[in-house]
Amino acid sequence: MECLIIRVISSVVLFLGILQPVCAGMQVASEIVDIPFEQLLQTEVITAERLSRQISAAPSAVSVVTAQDIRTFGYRTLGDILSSMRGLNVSHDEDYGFLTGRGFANPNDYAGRISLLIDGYLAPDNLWGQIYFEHDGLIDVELIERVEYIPGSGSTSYGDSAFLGVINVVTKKGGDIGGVSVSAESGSHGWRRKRVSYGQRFENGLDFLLSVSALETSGRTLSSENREDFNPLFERQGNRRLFMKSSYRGWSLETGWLVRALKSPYDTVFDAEDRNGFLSLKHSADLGSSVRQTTHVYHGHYRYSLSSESSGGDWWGVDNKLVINLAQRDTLVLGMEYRDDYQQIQEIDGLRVFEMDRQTVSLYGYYDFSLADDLQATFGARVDSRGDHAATVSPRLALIYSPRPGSVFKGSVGMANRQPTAAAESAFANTAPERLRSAELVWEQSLGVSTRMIAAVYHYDLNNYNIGWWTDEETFESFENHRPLSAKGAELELEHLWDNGTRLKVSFAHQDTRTADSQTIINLPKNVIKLNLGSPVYGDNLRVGLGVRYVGRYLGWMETYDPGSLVADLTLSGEYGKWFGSLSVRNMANARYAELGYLAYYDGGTGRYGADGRNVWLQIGYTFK
Amino acid sequence: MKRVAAVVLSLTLFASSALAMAANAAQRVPEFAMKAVYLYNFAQLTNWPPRGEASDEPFNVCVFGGDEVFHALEALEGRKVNGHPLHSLQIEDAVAVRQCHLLFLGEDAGRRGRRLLDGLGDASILTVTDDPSLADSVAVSLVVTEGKRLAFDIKLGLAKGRNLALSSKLLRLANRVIVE
Repeated sequence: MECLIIRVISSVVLFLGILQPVCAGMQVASEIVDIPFEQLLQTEVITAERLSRQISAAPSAVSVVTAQDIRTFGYRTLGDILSSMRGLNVSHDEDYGFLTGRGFANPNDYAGRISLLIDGYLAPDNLWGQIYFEHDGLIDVELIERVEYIPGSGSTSYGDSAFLGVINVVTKKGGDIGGVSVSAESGSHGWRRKRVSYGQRFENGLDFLLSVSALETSGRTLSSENREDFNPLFERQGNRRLFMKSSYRGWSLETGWLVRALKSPYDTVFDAEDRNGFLSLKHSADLGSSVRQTTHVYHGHYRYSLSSESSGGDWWGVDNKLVINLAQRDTLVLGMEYRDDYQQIQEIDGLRVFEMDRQTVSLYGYYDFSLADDLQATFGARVDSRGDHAATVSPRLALIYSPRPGSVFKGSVGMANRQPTAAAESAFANTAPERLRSAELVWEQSLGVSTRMIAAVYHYDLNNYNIGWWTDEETFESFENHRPLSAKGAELELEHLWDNGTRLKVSFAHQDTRTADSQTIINLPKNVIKLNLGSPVYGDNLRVGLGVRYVGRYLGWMETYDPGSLVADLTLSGEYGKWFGSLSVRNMANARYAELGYLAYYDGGTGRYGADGRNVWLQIGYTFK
Repeated sequence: MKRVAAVVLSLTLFASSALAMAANAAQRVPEFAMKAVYLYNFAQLTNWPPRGEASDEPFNVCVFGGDEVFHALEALEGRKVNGHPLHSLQIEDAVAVRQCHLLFLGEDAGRRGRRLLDGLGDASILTVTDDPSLADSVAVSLVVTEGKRLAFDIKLGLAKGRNLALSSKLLRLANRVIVE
């Protein structure tokens, strides 16, 4: 461990050492003030790096990753992006990725309870209610403009699936690509990936983007030399993705499709496949000068198949929203959504062993108003009425106090509900909705020019938490079922920008979740520290990115603790004319540690999976303009 | 495998440092210094209605929610604008804004910046911003073009409503002039 720390620190020192010369040569206003205005208009400006700003209006401590960060730090999947964010930890088994943070931690529940929005489309499937962010995810990271993680319940806006938070993905526009972009990747463990994207914004205002990609990889190597510590089951996998997006005037049409194949190392009968797709059509129009209407119609599809078994669902819905601008810059939003989960199935040998369809009608809205020049309030609520369940109400009240520019305090209290997923309804006797009461305080402060701090404390009370697993083919054991859970935590993040574009972000998250009898819950590291340092090393053309993650010890499935881990990744990325490329060394120090994944009765395993060891990744691309 | 990774790592670091040494100070201007000098030029190319001020009274350039631009303006302190020494100040509220000749709203201005603009009435203040969300409500909005030049758009109606006379040179140099 000490050795690890020394290696990481020495990398950081080396890294900072090379940054010095670039700082020279900055000009100040007094040196150019006498240059004729006409000439200044023709002079190139060095655009300053910005501290990333949240675009969502949520009164939470939002984390932001931009397209530039994706390039700088060599993120290959949405999971890589999430694992760089404050307080989040991503673990994997051989098939899926699991999310941990702010009191949610059970890998047998996959990544449920945090929703994923792709340009406003809610992406969780309707059987397991989980999100997909690794090779099973819908979107190539090269197509992502920015990702915001909004912790705290988003149920007031998005309902069930956003019970404990929202990951908001905004994709690039065709005009951002401005031609044909191709890239090829190669890496450790047989990683091969190819992508072709075309994007253009036309004179008549039409914006169009089409992208296809294909990946093959032979999985991961174990970082441990002592392999019997870990579950040795790793699979080859590959995927194919298609994404299309177009907008014209008030209309936008978007579709994404994915097929991910898992190849078992043992026998082809264990080969599995995920299929995921969506189609989304939106129209926005102004109704008079102060009302804007948006209508959104969507369709989603998900299937998992393993030899003779198949499960998943199909759904569609329509959402109609009015944004009304009132006097004094106050805003009222009113919306109504109808969603039809017309197919939720599990089949064995073509025989339906489970089948469900359900319809949900939701009303939602919020009122955003000023109480004083420096004090603003937001009250929002959402009512969901689904099939034979009693309607649930998820309200939230927030106060935002900004005593001066650069200083914001946000306080919020809320209640949220989560109806059991279709899969949970098939397994649990008790199908009462999970309930959350939450309170959060956030302080965002600019500390002089180009430094910002975010501090947050929160307290959640969770009731009716429904999680469990099959202990054998007959017995489903619910774990912590219906027990109240109480989660408390504090987070601190500092971000600084240097004049030459060097960006440092450091965050610390402390979290503690307890059951009613004061037991800690599994897979929840109490302390998570992240460091991201990105810097230009050759004008604007070349950047170095260092990402360091410390994840503290956590309780495993077998009631023993797994030690913490410290992992550092280094990426060199650059652009030269129409060429771009990245070279990453991930897990530089070859840290050995386990990640917690699904615990299945048939493995007889421990639910522990060896994390990926040191590995290398290379990407080369070219854009035809 | 370890050795390969170690070699790759060393090469990466070596290449980075070599390239960093080679980085030259290009003849380009940092964005915020450029924005400060633009504000100075806007002031030179605009006529304010007479306020009966003595010539030693300052020409006040106020900044709200734009720390970087305020910092850059400090280098121009005391330069003459229509005979008055330029003075830059950061303002916090609607009362302080009355003393401004030029008001710059930076990217941190946010909702309070909007309310500040709403409360200006017809005061003879040249309003400038680099925040796209405020661009509709100010006389001059700054925008960095794709060619990395700093351009500006003018809303003539908003300047005239405040009794400000923009010179023909300023209008000629603008990227766009919206008359309305």
